[in-house]
Amino acid sequence: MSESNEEKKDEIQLIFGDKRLDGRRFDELRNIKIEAGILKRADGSCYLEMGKNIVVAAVYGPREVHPRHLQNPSKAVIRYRYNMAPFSVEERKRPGPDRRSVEISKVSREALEAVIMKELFPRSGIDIFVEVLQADAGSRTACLNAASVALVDAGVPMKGMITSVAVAKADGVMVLDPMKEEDNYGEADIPFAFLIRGGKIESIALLQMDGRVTKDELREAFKLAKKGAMEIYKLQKEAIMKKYISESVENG
Amino acid sequence: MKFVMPGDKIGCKEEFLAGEGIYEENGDLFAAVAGKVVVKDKVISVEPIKIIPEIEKGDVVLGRIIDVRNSIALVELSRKKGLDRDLKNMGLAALHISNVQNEYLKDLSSAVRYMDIIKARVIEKEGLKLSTQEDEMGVIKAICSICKHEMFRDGDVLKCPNCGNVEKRKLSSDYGKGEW
Repeated sequence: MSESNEEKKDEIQLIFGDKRLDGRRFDELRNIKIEAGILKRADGSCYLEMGKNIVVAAVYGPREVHPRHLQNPSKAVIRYRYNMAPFSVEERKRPGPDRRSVEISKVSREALEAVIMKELFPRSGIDIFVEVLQADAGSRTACLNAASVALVDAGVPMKGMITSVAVAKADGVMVLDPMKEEDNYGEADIPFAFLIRGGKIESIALLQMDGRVTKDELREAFKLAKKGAMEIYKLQKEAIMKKYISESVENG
Repeated sequence: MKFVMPGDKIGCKEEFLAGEGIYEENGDLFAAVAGKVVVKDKVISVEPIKIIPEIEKGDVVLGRIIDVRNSIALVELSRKKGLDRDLKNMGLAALHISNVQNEYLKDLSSAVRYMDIIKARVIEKEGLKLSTQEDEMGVIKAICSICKHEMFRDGDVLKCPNCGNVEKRKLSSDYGKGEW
């Protein structure tokens, strides 16, 4: 961390030939570790590491909604809470919701609302809590990936899976899954979330952009994101299968 | 046995009838939950990795009395026996005076009272009708109507250790055991 402080004075070089600052190729993801069903009291849960991001997701429900006036007589209400731990970033973050986390919660909830079959649970609610324990750029994408696995672990009926990944523009090059340096000193950051159905990307569930890119660069970003999302989807699937298969062995 | 994830295509409308955990869109069948694919009598369904409790006739449920009227007590359901998971919102269940016990009961408030925790069997899914006629069913925890202290069993009646108040209930054989 002290090294990056020295470099902070001026712009830093992010691209070295065909490699990035951390030695990755432009279309390479960070290391991802996913573990499903880690919390005993939650109906579904997931622990996810995406590079230096560490997040934990928990799903409760479908259950009764309180306060009662929030209930919807025709479908379930989805509540999503993205929260950063005070120790998740270099400088202590003041705990509690802020402008940024409220916005992330809203857009992430809307992405998940597109896949959850809400009409099956009228007057009920599904609560999704995602805690960022360590943040290193793209934490909203890590959270969505974790929430998606936790929902599957909870057995909530869904039309497909949500898989999310970001693309950044660093030193004029589009790079997949940016880490903190590329996010902070790059020119643009574009988080994507896709609805994956039948092993294929079917639609975009979330698309944000900070910074500016050209039309061609956005197309390039989209291509990179699709490639990254399919890789993440495979890992999400493996995490669920690993838990399920080890469980069925234990139970005979 | 094939393992599927939500969104996996598992056939088309002409091949199978869609069962549990399956949804249909534009003639194709997709899995809605993760689990094993089971085909039985042309009905294809997914055996989910985790079950979301659904209350059926004959289930044993745990609930709390939230209102006692002349001939009916309203019950807020919390759990279905065998599954430690919140229920989806189904509305209030009803315990009618005729289903409380086998003998004649003149006054419902001598069998259940506000805030009692009861164990009951669902005798009708529509309208969530409950019965506590079996020995095992009935009140498993109650509070004193005067001082709200926890009541202890004393033979057939409940006694309040705090104020000495004695009350009658339709007691379950599991009263005070902390399990059900």
